[in-house]
Amino acid sequence: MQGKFEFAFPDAPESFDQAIFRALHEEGGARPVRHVGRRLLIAACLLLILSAVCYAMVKGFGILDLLRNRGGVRPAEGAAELVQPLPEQEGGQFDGVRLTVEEALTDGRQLYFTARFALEKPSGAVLLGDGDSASGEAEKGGKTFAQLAKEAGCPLLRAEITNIQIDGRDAEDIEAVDTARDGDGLVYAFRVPCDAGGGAPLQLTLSAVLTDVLNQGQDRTQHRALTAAVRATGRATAYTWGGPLTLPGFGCEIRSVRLTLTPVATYADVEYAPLPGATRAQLQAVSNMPLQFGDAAGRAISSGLGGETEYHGGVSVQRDILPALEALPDALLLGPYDDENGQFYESVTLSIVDARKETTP
Amino acid sequence: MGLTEAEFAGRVVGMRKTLYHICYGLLWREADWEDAVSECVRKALLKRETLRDERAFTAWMIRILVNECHSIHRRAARETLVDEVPERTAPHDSGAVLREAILSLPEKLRLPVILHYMDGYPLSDVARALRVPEGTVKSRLARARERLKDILSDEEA
Repeated sequence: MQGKFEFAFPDAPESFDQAIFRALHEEGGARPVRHVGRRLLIAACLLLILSAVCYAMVKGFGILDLLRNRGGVRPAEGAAELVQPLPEQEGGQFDGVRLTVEEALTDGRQLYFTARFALEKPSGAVLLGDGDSASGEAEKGGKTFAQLAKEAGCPLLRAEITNIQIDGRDAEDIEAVDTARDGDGLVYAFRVPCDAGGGAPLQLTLSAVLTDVLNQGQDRTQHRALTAAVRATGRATAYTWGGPLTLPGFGCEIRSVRLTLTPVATYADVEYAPLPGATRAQLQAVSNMPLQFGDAAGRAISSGLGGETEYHGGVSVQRDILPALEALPDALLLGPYDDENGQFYESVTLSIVDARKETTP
Repeated sequence: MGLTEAEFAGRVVGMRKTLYHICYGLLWREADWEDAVSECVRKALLKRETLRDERAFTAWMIRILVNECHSIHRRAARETLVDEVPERTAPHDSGAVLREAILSLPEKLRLPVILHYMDGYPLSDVARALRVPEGTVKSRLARARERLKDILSDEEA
């Protein structure tokens, strides 16, 4: 397949390579050195305070703890009632390591869950997460993971989840919400789109791989799959605005907006399309720039778990996961936003009185 | 223990084709490609000691560059609302149809195609760079293939 694509893009112009070499050269001799001591001291103090705050926050490894640790995701109080602790499953048994899906949470839009890789025996192995490397520094005593494994005379195992299925079908648009190290174990938190509800039973299947990274080439890779039974629960209130709402400077019209409030998050679906006669520059801006939600005072609402935009026949559909809202405010802004200056280029106002409301149990 | 400046420079030069493909795939203007890659290299050079895993270097660089491309879009948005943007620099060669088809894909499908099919990175590396599981990369590539097939067959017709 690669051969067909290899030459699809033209060669880099010389100016591109020159830009790389210039950047490499400039930085080599031009590091700022003045006032570093004072700045370092301030930074160190801030870091100490932040570390203390983070330590206080990161004391749990449940799904809600891991969602809260991820900036901007603030599940509401009611989310705790939706958390399902799961019994240990069959199939997650590796040599010396067990994988378990510990908690799951569904809210009618997404399935969130935690999966833990735990050692069967203390010091039986050193586990590496998807962002760690053998030569990376472990938290214990400034040693690398590889050194820790060698000293303990145990294998160094990379533990990863490679696929997720719901009811036998590959889940799409999975996001790894967070990864945390809990003692010798690893806890992963994932988010998977799942719109089932009403208590329907779901089969969540994880494929996992454990690789002995210091003995690669000796076929030390173990594959396992386990299935956990989850119930699709959730309650939501959705607000819909019909369009069109016009953003003339941006060259687009918003055709519809739907905000779904659940105890876990606020899900936004925005459908928009270029206005007839929009310039190519406007079309480019529309296709590259997500629309931002803001409060009535013009402050941006943080993006929570992020979002994505898809295109269908000239219409863009933007989906965002925003922090949970207990209730919809009287008015919200929506429009293209300048991150650096903290201002909307232009916006439309979504008023609660204009919204159509639906509640699902 | 991070990379030395010389090691860093060697790794960056070694992946300049990938860096170019990402810029070409995400940004319209040639000047923006240069701004994006310069800023990416500067940031990476300054932060290289924070890279805990040298084997994750490629994924790390790709992430910095993709973020930089997004920043350029946001910064440029105000100007592009009022100014016309020049045509993307591209020769009219036999690869033009495939190139335009790739560029018409949504970004989340376009990046896996660039990294896996064009630059040959294994799925695990692409997954790490885009911070999604391998299963997601596979499904995105499958969707990209379907879309490319549709676009290219329409073009032939």
